[in-house]
Amino acid sequence: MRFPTPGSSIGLFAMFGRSSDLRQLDDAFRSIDVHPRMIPEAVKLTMSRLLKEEAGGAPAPEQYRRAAEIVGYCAIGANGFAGANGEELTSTVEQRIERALNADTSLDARLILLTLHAKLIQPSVVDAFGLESSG
Amino acid sequence: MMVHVKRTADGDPAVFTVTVREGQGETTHVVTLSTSDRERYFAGHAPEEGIHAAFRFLLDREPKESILRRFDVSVISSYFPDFAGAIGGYLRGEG
Repeated sequence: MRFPTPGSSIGLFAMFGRSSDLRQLDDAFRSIDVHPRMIPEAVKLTMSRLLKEEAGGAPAPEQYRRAAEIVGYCAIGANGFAGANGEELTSTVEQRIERALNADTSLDARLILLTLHAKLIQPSVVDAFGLESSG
Repeated sequence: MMVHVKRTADGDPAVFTVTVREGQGETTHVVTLSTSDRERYFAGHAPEEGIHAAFRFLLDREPKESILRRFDVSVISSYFPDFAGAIGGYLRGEG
């Protein structure tokens, strides 16, 4: 019998507990006061895959946090994000989104696209940045 | 487990500081409550009673360390969809 390699799957290995990368993502979302249950598991699984692709292996802890900042901002909008995290971090994330719009293959750009496709993004964020998905 | 609710700012939204103590451990949370959500979820009760009931609801579902440090009452139902239906029971002391 062959066992699947441990990963982010919510299949067999979910029986033995949540995978390390999903737990790290949950912690990253909590650290910016976005409840992890607000983020669909499918989105977190895709985030995990994108992070591993970007890192070429296991992502560093701060990469989970940076990814959560982008997805969390898109999920709760500027006002909610600023209320929980302050204007400085909000401004930093907004600058990252602006840069991502000019570099559509960056990790940030793919994370933003993910929130668009998952219909997780706040309409206010779509309007503020003029976002649209072509596919 | 002990939950202490203190209103720290009036207005809309009102702001509350909530301390949860369990054994030697303690967490502190800042919670905002708009007038419309007060009417929606806690009608007929003091806001502090409502916030206290909301924390009993949350603590029945997750450890205190998992409760967000800062949140608005309106977001609870986005991650616990049964909040609106269940909070009345907690306000009546059934939770």
